[in-house]
Amino acid sequence: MSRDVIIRAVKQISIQNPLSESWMDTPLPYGTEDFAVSVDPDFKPYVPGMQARRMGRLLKRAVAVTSEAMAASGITCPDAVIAATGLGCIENTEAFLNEVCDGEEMLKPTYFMQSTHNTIASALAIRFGCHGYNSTYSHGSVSFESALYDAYLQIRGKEAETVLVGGFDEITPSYYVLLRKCGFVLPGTYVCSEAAVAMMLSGPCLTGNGICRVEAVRILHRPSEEELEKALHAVCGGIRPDAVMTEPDPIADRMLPGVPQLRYKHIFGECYTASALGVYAAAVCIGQGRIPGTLCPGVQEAPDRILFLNHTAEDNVALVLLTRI
Amino acid sequence: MDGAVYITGMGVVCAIGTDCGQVLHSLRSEASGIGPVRYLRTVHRDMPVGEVGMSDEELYGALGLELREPVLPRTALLGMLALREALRDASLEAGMLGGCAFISGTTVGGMDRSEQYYRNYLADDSRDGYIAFHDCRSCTELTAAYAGRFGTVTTVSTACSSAANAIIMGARMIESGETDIVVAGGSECLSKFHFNGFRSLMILDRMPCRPFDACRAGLNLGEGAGYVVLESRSSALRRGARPLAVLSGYGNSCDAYHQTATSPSGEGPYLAMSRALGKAGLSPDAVDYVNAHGTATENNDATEAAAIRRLFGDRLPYVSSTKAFTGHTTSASAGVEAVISILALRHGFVPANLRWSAPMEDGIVPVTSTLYRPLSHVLCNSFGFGGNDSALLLSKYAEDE
Repeated sequence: MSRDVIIRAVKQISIQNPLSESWMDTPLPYGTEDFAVSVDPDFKPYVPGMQARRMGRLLKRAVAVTSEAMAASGITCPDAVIAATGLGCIENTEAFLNEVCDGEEMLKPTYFMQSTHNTIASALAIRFGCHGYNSTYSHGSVSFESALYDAYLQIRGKEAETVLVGGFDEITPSYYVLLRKCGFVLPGTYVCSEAAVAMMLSGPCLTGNGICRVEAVRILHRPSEEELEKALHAVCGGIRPDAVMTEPDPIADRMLPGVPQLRYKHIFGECYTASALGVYAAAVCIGQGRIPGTLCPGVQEAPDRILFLNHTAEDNVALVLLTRI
Repeated sequence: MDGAVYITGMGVVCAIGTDCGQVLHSLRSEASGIGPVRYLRTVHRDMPVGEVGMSDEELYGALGLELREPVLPRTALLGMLALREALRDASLEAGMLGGCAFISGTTVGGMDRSEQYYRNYLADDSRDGYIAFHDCRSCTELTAAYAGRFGTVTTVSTACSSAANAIIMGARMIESGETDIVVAGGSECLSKFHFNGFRSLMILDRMPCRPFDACRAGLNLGEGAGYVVLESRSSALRRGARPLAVLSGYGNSCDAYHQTATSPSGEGPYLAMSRALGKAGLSPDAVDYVNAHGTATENNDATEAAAIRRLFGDRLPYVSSTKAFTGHTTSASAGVEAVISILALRHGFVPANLRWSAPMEDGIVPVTSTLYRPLSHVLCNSFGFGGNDSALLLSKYAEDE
């Protein structure tokens, strides 16, 4: 059970320049608004005009970002497609919810059909003709790590050789109000944002270069101190990581003293699948052999091992160890 | 058989009962749970549903919880009831859950509360306590917390196959050797949101549904929850747990055809079923009974019949859809129906496909009254919007394993 799990390619559409790594050196400012929508690329090369009119922006982003990740990885039809989303196509969900609240008459199915969380993964399967395994995780801020864990186990267990893992969320002005009210986004912290990340993973059989290895994935629910220590030790293999990608958190301070901490939410903002952007950023750092000053000033050395640590408000802790190939 | 995945406990709640015993009794006495709307706050009273026969207040009572604001989503309440039964069945106490995972399937989540108070959220602060219930995670974590503290908790949301894919992920975690015990399945209450969604798609029958019948005219929505305790062989031996059945295979495939319709050839359903058999290393001949997805929509039943014919040829196993009893419990259906399949295996019977009278063109003839037969392998299908098709292969546990 020690098959390599390799990230072959990973692309993003977010509040930074889309399909680009320019955020590393020249991150885009996003103003002082309470929430920020993604910077969309031109969708024409990815989605024909007829189809585009029927697709929500989150679906268009998913198709575009997946197309680019596929092209960069050389994988055209992955064995498995696994999506993660906190709220799914919330724009359609709210549209149908509004119609239901207005009275239950004369409803059209269009919004409902694109309101389920699995809309994105199935749209990708339809678009790219993938009849393989297809699933969607929706578990708040550890949705992406749940999807990544599934992919990791499938590649390690030889169930799949190539897997697409994606993280997708969008925001609407009205749902932003709800996220503020329920305390998911807090004033004075991070901008409430959106995410579309596509990551192509493969086992060791595929030749050619990859970006980095996914060494271990672990998701813990309300862990005790002892369980956390055990999990950290198991994930890191007893070796100190070169850096930890995390938001300010007591776990990192206490259990990984002296390990440089990298930040990403000041660049990408906060949403349920923000962690997809965090894992993406860590992977890019290893792939490019550098940690830009925008993530952490003063780290010079090329990182070999970055631990991604996501500690959510509900006390779920996700650990992902990425290593250099 | 080192990677074997045993089922050492199960719990269920649906229109025909709030525990395994009641569900077994209803199945054997062919008593359907489909009836007029009692609890769902909808103006459309003309469409029958498969409601769990308890109000939210009664569910609180059954759970021993004190009713207070904010009232928990019904999805969570149903989930708690089924989870409690599954854990008791497996002799798992609260203190033992730290090493276990809980994976639940849901799509509706807390939508029953969102649709009541969404306008309040935007207009005033009176119902803000309900906002956090909306996302799928919250129902899963509320359900989990009722039982104790699980070491890992997550949610699968693939519409009507959610519970199947939760069970598949649970099996994968056990096969990897990383976890010994995973409680998996799904929970879903009726909501105005998806009731009206299905209604707008014109796939709800105004009569009690008739799966695989030539005159079928749509589905009846149901609600419920079903969980199975998946356990590694070594853990079951160590704990002295009694295996109820073996999850010997599973398959998941995307139809990749249309967002809500199924392909005429049944590519996704066919691949899901054949992968389940392939995983188990069994030929189609070994399957005694298919607990079909069988929603009773024009589209699903035609596609599923085509896929079953393609896989089994002329040697069809017994087939029935138990949705004529329970209604379509959507995200929970594979949890509810995995429990029904295990009851069938353990008690040696094929549940009836109620209300069937005339064969569809190129269709299959289901079992129309309860058939008492020893069964070894049951294939349990669940297919979702977006072509998310999954099949579970449940096998009788042989004492000498």
